[in-house]
Order: sequence, then structure tokens, then C-alpha cells
Amino acid sequence: MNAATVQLAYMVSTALFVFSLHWMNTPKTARRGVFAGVAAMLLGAVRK
Amino acid sequence: MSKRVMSRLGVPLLVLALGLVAVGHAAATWDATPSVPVATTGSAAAAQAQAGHNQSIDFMGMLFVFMLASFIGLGVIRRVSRLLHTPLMSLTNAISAIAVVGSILVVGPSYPLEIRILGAIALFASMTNIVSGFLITDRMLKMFKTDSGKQAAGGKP
Repeated sequence: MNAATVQLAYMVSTALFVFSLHWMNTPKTARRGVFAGVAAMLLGAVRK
Repeated sequence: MSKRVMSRLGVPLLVLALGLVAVGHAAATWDATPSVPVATTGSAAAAQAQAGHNQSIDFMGMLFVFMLASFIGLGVIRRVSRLLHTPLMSLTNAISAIAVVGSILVVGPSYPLEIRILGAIALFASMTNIVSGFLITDRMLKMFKTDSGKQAAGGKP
């Protein structure tokens, strides 16, 4: 993968991390926060 | 009352003091940079001045990023529901293990063998942290939903 795509994936992953912590604030969206964190971790770590 | 106000003001004052120290350091670097004569073309002094200038701009950009990130962190963490402190800390621990990217880079083939062995150990430890952190957070939230569903659905304390 080229460098721009990797940087874009890092940016999306960072935004998903921030939203994951933000959704963790209220109990109604807490599960969504966990799944956003899992998706961001997959996007950030598993790139090839 | 006064103690409460002080504890509320403590963290922003600390951040402000840190920022002022950093700005002072940057201003010293900034003032030191243009005094070097740039007129000599192709010399080492011009290259050094250029490097110092770029480093100073980079430092100011980093400082801006730090300021914006601290405000984002303050806005995200403020007003957390009292029920969710423990899952929030668990999730923060799990996503702080994004440092696994560094250990993935370190186990690459262009490093000596000892460093790759240490990187493999770091990879194992942070993968354990990631997977078990997310699983434990999910399990915690499931327990909240079955145990006190009325409280989780209804009230924000």
C-alpha cells in the first residue's frame, strides 16, 4: 500500500478512537464505543 | 469551597504553565534563528539556519497539536456517567495498546536478532493487552445490561 493510504488509515483510526472514548460517556452508546475501538484497532494495526 | 475551586483549576493551570514554558523555549529558538546570516549561499551556516527554522516551525505545529488535543481530551472525558468509569478506564487501557504498531515495525527483517526477539515479546504482550482489554470491556458492559438494565437505560447521575 502506498504511504498516503496508510496515513489516511491512521487518521481514520485516530478519529474512531476519539469517538470510541466519546461514546463511552453515556450508557446507551457504550457498546458502540467498544465496537468502534475494535474497528479502529483493526484498521490501525492490521494494514498491509 | 476554595479547595474545590482550586482542585478544579489545578489541571488547566498546570497545562497553561507547561504551555508557557514550551512557548518560552520556542521563542528562544525562534529569536536565535534569524540572527544567523543567510546571505552566504551554499554554506553550512545557511543550511543550519534553514534546519533550525524548520525545526522551530515544526515545534510550534506540535505545540498547536498538543493544545488542540488537550482540549479534545478534556471535552471527551468531562461529564462521564458515574456508572461507566470502570469500562472507560478499561477501554482506555485497551486502546493505549495501539503501540503494537511500533513493535510490529521493530520485528521487521532489517533489525538484528536480539531486537527482533525483544520486539516479538513486546508484540505478544501488547496483543494480549488489546484482545483481553476489549473482551473484558465488552463483558463488563454485558454485565451492566443484565444486572441493572433499568439503571443503565434510565438515569444519568
